Amino acid sequence: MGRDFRWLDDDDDLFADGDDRAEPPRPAQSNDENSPASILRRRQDRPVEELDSRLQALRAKALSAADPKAAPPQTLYDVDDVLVSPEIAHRPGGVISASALSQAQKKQVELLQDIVGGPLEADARAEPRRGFLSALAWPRLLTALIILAAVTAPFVLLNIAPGDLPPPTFGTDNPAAERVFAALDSLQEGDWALVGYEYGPTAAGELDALADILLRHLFFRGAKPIIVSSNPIALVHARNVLNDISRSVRPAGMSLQANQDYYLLRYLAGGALGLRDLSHNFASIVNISARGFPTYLELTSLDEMALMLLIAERADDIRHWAEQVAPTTTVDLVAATGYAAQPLAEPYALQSAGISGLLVGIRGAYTYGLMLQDRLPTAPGENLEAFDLLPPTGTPQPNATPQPTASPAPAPNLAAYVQLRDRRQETPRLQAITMGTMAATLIIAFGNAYFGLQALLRRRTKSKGQ
Amino acid sequence: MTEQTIALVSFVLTLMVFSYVLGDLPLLRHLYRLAVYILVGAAAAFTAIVTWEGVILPYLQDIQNPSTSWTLLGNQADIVIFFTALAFGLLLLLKPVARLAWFTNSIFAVMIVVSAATAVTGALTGTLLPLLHATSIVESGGLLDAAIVFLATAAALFYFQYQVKESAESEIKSAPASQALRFVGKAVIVTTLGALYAAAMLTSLTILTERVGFLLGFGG
Repeated sequence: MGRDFRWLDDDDDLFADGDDRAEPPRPAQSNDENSPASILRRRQDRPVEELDSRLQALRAKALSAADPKAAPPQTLYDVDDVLVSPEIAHRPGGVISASALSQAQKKQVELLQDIVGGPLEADARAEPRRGFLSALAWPRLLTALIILAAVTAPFVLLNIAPGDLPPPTFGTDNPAAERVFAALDSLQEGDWALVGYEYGPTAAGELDALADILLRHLFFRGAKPIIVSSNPIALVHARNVLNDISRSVRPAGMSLQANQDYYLLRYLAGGALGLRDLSHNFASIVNISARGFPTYLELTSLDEMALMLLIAERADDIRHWAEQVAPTTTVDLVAATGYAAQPLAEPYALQSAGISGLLVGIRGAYTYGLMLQDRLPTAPGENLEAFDLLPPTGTPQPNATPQPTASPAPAPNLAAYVQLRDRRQETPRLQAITMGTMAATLIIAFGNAYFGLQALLRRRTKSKGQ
Repeated sequence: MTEQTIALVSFVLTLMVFSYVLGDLPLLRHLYRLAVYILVGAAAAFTAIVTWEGVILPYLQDIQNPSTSWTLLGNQADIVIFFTALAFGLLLLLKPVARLAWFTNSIFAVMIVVSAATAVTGALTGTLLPLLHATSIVESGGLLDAAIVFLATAAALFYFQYQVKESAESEIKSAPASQALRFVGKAVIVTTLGALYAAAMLTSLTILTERVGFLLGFGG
């Protein structure tokens, strides 16, 4: 082997190493022997052993690219390949240098270079048309079908009930979620609760269940939510969720009124800057509703809130609230999020480091709903009168005497917010998640075994070849 | 009627997104893209409307009324802030003009510096100090947990340490203890990535169950 690999400097002269480097062609002379064509004719390939390691690697790569059978099959990356694990190179003078790209990133860069380096339009035109069956993504389709079948089964078959349903209380197993329930349950009628609504339609499938039960708990306690968001789409979605809650309590003769039962404030532009603005200019922000109208709220500081509740899709949103809002006030901040953000959100709920309580996922929403349901008969101080919340089944009798419109409205039965909650899909969804998780786990285990076996066989073949 | 129409559109859009699993089929491959274009287009439109309706328009109305103040600094200050922001926004449109790059870059610099200052302040008071304090509290019987957390964190950080030494034979290699600690760090990182992946998968399955429930319940 010749020299070691090293990075070239800007001041390195490519042609300064004498006989093992190619000389630039000299200007043509009158004499034929010195013409560039003649020099090229006289040149002979150097032996492979004389090439440095970089050129040898390039040569091997070129040969393997020319022979498709020799190209190694696509394998899964190791952790060292995915993370930045640089190839360490020795430079003259004892300097150790390293490239900042991982192996996987380098391969992706090479792929991109291949893509943009070629005649894209010509390639696209030359691409042969594939048939229907060959165009089907078979592995992806098979995986999707297995998971879809597993997820669908609990909705259509009644006898499939794997696993246990979530417990009826959080108890000591989940103190962070217990703290969320306790915080909301301690609210009094007329208390203000600032609600950070940081998710849009893309996470609605998971977080709507949490938002629904938490908002219902606020209304049940008689608290008034003030909803803000640094996500403009989230404000639109929040209005939909509130409309759904309002529709659900119509059988009890109730409805939610904007700027009366709840307040939807203007969009906080600027991400983290917008949240900092909320902390310091709260009085001006609560003055404008999401539709740009005045709210006539006379609040001046976050400290006037009884509680801050955050419903967030991304861990970054939770971090922003913990960093920009929580340190500026003494009011407790509790959060609800999905499973994907849970690992990064939990440290903030540890020892109440910024967040007092954390409620996670649809299982959390299920247990929370059961606990809230249990609160109904013994809820103190609500002055609830038990009445039938279902619409009357008999023929309605017209009132002979019209009621005066100025008469005071009857006290709303706040229990309706909990009792009229639609719980039809809760159990099948939880079972479907369990089934889907089982199917996905089996597929992953099969994939690992397949790739592991493949790697083992390849290694054996390689060792036999040597 | 309106609710039924919305449900029908949702039903069709859901099927369009699910068509992605079928692969690169003629005509069908456009359905997924079309659904994504609709999502992106609608999101952009909503963002523009909400920003105009909830931020720009109220501010514009505020500066026209001397008795109100958006920022609580007084109406005159509001006017100055509004026109400064407007000027910054308009000047950013000059970005394609190469000769004025220094100017537009300066405006970007102001925004970046303010954002960075806010982020650093928040990170210190909201993340670093509270988490350090929380980690330092060792409850009774939690000493083993604390030790594991410390070792795992140290090993994971050490994994990104590439210090090597050159032997007398000009060979470059790291010490055996360093290799062992990096191996532990690698195991910690793999476990963490696995947990994150599992959590993301659980979220995806939760969302999928909601859509499957919607599809199966459609029209029922």
